[in-house]
Amino acid sequence: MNGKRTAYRITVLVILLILCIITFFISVGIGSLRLPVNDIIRAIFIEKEGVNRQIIWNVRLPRTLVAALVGVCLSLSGGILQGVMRNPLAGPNIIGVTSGAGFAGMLVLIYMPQYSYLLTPVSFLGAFGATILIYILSWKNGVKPMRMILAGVAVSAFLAAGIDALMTLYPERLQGAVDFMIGGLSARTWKHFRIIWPYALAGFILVNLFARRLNILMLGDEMASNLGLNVNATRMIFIILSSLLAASAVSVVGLLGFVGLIVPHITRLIIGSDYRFLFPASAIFGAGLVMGCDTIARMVMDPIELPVGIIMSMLGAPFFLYLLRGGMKRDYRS
Amino acid sequence: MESKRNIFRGCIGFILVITMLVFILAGCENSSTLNEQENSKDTDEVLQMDEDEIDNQNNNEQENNAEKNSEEGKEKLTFTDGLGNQVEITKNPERTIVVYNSMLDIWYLAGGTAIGRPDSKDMVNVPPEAVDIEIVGQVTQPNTEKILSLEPDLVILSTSMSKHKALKEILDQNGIENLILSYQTYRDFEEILDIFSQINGDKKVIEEVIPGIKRQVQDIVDRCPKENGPKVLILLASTSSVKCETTATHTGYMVDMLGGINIVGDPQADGQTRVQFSMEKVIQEDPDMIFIIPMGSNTEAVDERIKKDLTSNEAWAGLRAVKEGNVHYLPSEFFLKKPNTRYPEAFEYLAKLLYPEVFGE
Repeated sequence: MNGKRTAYRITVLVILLILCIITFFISVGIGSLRLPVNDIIRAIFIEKEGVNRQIIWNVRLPRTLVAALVGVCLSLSGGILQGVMRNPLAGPNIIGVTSGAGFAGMLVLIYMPQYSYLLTPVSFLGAFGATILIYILSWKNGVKPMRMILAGVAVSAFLAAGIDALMTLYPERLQGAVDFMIGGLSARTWKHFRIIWPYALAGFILVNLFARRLNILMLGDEMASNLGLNVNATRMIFIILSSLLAASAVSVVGLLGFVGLIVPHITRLIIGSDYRFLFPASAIFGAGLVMGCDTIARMVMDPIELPVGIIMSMLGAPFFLYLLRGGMKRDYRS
Repeated sequence: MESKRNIFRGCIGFILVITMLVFILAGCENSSTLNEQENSKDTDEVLQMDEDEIDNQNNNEQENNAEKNSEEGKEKLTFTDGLGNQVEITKNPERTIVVYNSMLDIWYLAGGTAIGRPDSKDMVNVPPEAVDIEIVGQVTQPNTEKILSLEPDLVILSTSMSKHKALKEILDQNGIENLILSYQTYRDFEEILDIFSQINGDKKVIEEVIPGIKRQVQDIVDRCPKENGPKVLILLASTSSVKCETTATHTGYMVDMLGGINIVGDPQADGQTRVQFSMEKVIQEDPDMIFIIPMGSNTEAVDERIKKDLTSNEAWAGLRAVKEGNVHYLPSEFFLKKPNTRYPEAFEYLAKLLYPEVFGE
């Protein structure tokens, strides 16, 4: 029985991986400029100059890679939080990542527009800082998930009020700020890729190493302590990891929250709740989803682009509801 | 126990510091008062917040087919407003409030006087005669009670402000004449000037000022080469996304009139002014020049930053316009705010950039 289950899960992982790779090639392959496959390969490996090289190498490839890594980071972050908090609604917004990055980012864009290159590090610090603040505020002989969620809601509401205040006071400086709030992959290049890949890679390796611990934590605090797990330390490590992952993604592409909430749920419905499989599956699925949605966002009204978040929510939400209503006959434990 | 209390105190302190920071920083740069403002998260609304800056509204043509009916001694004119409705306006109003400074300027130009205007930080488009009239709130947040208490007989509003549409309903309910207009482009300027001068019945404006401005602009347009205009990309002041202007915006429309080819093209939907454009398409089209629209904070530093961004970003740096230094930061007096009487100067500024060989000194 157990072996059969494992085989099923590995098959699912392999299928997801193949789909993800296909999506990658589609995403790099199509765009405003339509090129046959051999021209694309030439543009990547052989040409050193020219329009094709410029478009494929400097625009499409980095954008697709950033999309994939953002998908990985946000999905893993969401997956961790839903586990640690034992709450299906947990996502990067709950630990203040979204509002922290949003508020810090707005401060830069509104007060120091000439330092807009600081946007990424500052919003990263804002996101991580908000998590730490929420963690400290909810500490009382250890952190209880429910208390942390409530503290998160309160701190997020507070920071959101700050964002709203800035928006009302500086209507004339809003353009860049609104783009950041909606989030998107437009004009993302190698610079952004270089920021995000170390987090994505380190995060991916670490969560998979710790997956078993999260499985134990899921049994409940008491049981987990009895099994010799330091509940508080484990929880803290996971929360920090999750915050770093989400912060790196959010600081690069803006406030794209929905992936983190929905991808872990969808993969959980497909592959079950064992984190040793759930983590890699979420990462792969998240990467594929963001790449795919961004390709659609680029192509729907070509050459006008839509923010990827819109496509993601429009496609993701109905699909998620379909799974939730029993379109997929698998056990759903959250 | 003690340490826990310290942490708690630290956190409260942190929150207080952030709160103060927001308000102190806000206070430094913005002395204007904050009216009872709802914190609206609606980005749509937010996008339409500054006049001239972000004009997103449908660009209905305001036909000025004025019909004159005399009743009760007061002459009335009929106009089609910016929302496409027929409205009757009594001629020669005495207590006018103009809730949009670009239009206030035209109103005075057309021989009108006003008793109320919105607050303005930089006083651009506030004519000297109107400096001391009553302030009726922010352009984005007009104060309804203040406006009603001034007992106006005409209120002039803008379609680019969502709050103005709400205000229009209240004015209609109170039986106060109002005219809501769309001011996006040079064409709107001509139409609004025409409508305003009819309302004020100023013959001199109708016969001299308007034709004068029109002629000067037409002269510049006529001097431009008729074909093979340069390919232009009009970018909003940020390289973190490729937000571009269509031909339906203030600057887009002017470039179009002068024969520049906007690579983003005409809006695909009515009123579509700014679009997220494909970087790939930009590279394919390889525009001859890039115009950067100033944002609210038009400082040299921002200008420098954008130039640096353009040259350090692999995707932008490869563009011919960037390599050849054909990236132009447009001055806000003409291209962020509406130039109104200075339209000829604004057109000339653009024409010099587009055709240095024709307009260069």
